[in-house]
Amino acid sequence: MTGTTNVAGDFAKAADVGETVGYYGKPIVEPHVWKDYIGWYFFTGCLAGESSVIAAVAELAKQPALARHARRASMIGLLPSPALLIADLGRPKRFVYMLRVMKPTSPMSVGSWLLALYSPLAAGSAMLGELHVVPRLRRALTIGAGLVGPTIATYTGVLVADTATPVWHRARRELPMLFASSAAATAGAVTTMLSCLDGRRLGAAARVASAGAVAEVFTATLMKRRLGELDTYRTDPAAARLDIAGRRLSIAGAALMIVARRGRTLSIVAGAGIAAGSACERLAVLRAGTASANDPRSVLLASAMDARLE
Amino acid sequence: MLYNRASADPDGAPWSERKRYVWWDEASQRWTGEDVLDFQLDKPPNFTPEPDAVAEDALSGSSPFILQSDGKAWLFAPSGLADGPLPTFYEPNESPVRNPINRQQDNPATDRIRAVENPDNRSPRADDEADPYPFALTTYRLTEHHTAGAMSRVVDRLNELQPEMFCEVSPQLAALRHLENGGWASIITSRAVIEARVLVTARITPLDVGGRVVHTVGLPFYWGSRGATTGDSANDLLGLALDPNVHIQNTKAQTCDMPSGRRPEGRDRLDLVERHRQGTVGR
Amino acid sequence: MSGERGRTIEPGVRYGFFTDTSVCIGCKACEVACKEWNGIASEVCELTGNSYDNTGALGATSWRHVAFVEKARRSPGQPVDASPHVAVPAITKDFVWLMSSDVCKHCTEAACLDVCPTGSLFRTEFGSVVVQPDICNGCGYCVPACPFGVIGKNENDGRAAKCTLCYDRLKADEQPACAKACPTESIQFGALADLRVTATRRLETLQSRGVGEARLYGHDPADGIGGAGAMFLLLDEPDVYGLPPTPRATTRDLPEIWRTAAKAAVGLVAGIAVVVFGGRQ
Repeated sequence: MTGTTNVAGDFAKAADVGETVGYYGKPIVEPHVWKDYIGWYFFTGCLAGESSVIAAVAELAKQPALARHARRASMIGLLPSPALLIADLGRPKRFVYMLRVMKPTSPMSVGSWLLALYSPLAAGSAMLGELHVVPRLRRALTIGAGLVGPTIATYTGVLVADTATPVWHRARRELPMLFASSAAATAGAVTTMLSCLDGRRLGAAARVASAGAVAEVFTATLMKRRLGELDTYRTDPAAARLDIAGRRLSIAGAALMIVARRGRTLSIVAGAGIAAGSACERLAVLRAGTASANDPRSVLLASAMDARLE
Repeated sequence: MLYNRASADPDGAPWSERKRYVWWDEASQRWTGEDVLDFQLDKPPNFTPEPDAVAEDALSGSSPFILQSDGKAWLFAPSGLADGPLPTFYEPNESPVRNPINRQQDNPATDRIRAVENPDNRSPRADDEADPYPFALTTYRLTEHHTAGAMSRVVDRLNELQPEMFCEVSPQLAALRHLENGGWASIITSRAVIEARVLVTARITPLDVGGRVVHTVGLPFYWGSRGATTGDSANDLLGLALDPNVHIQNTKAQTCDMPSGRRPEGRDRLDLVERHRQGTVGR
Repeated sequence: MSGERGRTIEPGVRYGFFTDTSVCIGCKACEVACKEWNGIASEVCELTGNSYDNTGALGATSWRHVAFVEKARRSPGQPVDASPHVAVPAITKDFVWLMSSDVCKHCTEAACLDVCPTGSLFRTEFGSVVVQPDICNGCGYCVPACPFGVIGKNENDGRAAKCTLCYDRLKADEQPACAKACPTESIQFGALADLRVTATRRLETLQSRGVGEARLYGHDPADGIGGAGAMFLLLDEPDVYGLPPTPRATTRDLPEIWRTAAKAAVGLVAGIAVVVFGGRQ
């Protein structure tokens, strides 16, 4: 800026005609209007989708116990999901309009259709699994859910990145990875917890949980480093609280899960920690997005960074 | 263009090529030209009126100022002006500065409404004497409201554009009186004290009058006690000193002081005005 | 509607705005006309202290917003002496009061339209982008997608809302309410192709008069949104008015984002397979 100054607005002292950024420091883009329902849906939806992957792989690896607990974990994720999504709508009764059109340019449309495809597969396989009937159909449905599951676990990362919020859009190469690894961590954790409650800790699930948690923290760190000055996970107090808590819970949980070995109680605690860490990280994403969109500096900085790349 | 007959000489030819606006066309016996004529179209330049003529027929062909009884411009007004015959410069009834060209500070023919409710701050003090009302005060309109506000304050479409009474001050005055943009200030004159939100703006510049800084406070005048939005009324501050000719009051030039913060209520409000009048208020 | 004789606003032609801020007088008639025509509620708030702008920003209940920027050129670090008996520093030699009526840009590549999952947002036969309020379910996705922060969600109503380019008026062969109300023709409505010519000519006129700060915004089809349906002639940098310097439709990056997701998904499945098949149970 060439030495011109907007001298209206904040006069803290008359002598200090301080430069406010942009137009009275007001946001250039709008922050999201989603309530925390959506943050919790990121958690439950990814739990469901990823657990289905574990269940499908377990079926193929002929590990019925793992498949059973993973299917239950996916139900724990799936059951609240539609309610969370519908509750966030401005006109909840119009939720079916999500399936009015098929719009490839809208991750929310794609996700809605994927969810519509995934839900009967996952629910069907779980129901058949509990009833111990028609194993071949159950297997087919489980594998079907496992094929769609990864999309459920990653499309929300796409959704968030496909906006004008600088901290999200700039991290568009990391966010789907972050959501995926977070999903693995959560799915593994909940599956482990369920298996422990049922009598025997399943090592495979525990390893998925720990590996997922480590991958989640690693991806988040990488993402924030690449964001540089745009990183509102660090600069925004609300986001930072959740981000730090999430990181600590994930690391502590992963470590505990590893040292717990076959110990069921410790494994349950570890699993809860990993799941909680993942939930914190999802909510941190929403907070960081709000802070980023509300700061006109973010948009101007992102614009300048893009210009430097060209 | 008003009185554009004056752009042509007494014979009807333009005074200047650069400013040809109207001229007499002898052939058609009518005035013609670039501008719409502000004169009788068919009155020749050499027209001499009859002694008993009336109205426009009493004006000659070279009398452009058709609203005057003799059609001429008056620098010297032998009649009709209460403060004639020659104009001169006077300061307004309340002014922070001395009249620089006349020993008579303000217009002696001013119709001052003498009433106990209409005290004024008439003469400026000597430079070393503290003036309890050191700033110039003026009032003006905003685009978003109209009349005196009573008719526009009930319209929400307008209220949302300008929702509150405010005053406008320069950054320098804001520093002097510790005012913050968006904060509150009180404006006090000999008559009353009101409060307003503060808008600090470089659009108002302090005046350099003979080496002395004179600050101006600007007030829109649309607020009052009734309506969808309410606020203090600028009119409460104003004293009445009426122009001797048309008796229009001096709402655009008064003097005031401007302490920061909101004004008191009730008895305290009246006491504040009184104490300020007697010069016993510290700032 | 097509085929009617005597229509000046033809379906199938792209229409838009050219807002010449060099003649805007900040009267806000556009704001009021818009609200009156569209029946939008007025919300009386506090004085903002931001010059004469008490509207703040575009949103679900403000579809036209007049910005006011008071600009003084001064050398940095110049102190302002506040004592009353010292000569006043020349702070206002170069002073300008910028005014600009902001509106939805009706982008050629409209991110809001692209991300709308219900198909509520659509492109009309006049090239504008409009929300169908009987379809919108208030998912709110359009709100963070807009690179200009235009569209908002009305929390009382539950639905998203923004300027419609007075779609109903266009269908009745009337120009938008704001353009009709503007007393200085700062807001000009017309076929976008014609407006581009007008805008270019106006820029040339101003520059030939020495107004070096004049520039066009949203006029370039090669920009990040494919050019806007609402162009502006600004007298300073876009960010001074609260506009993004390089707006970009996020949809342009969507293929890249899906590719990343695909890699993540494949990696996920592979990782889990390795863990499950690899270790003991």
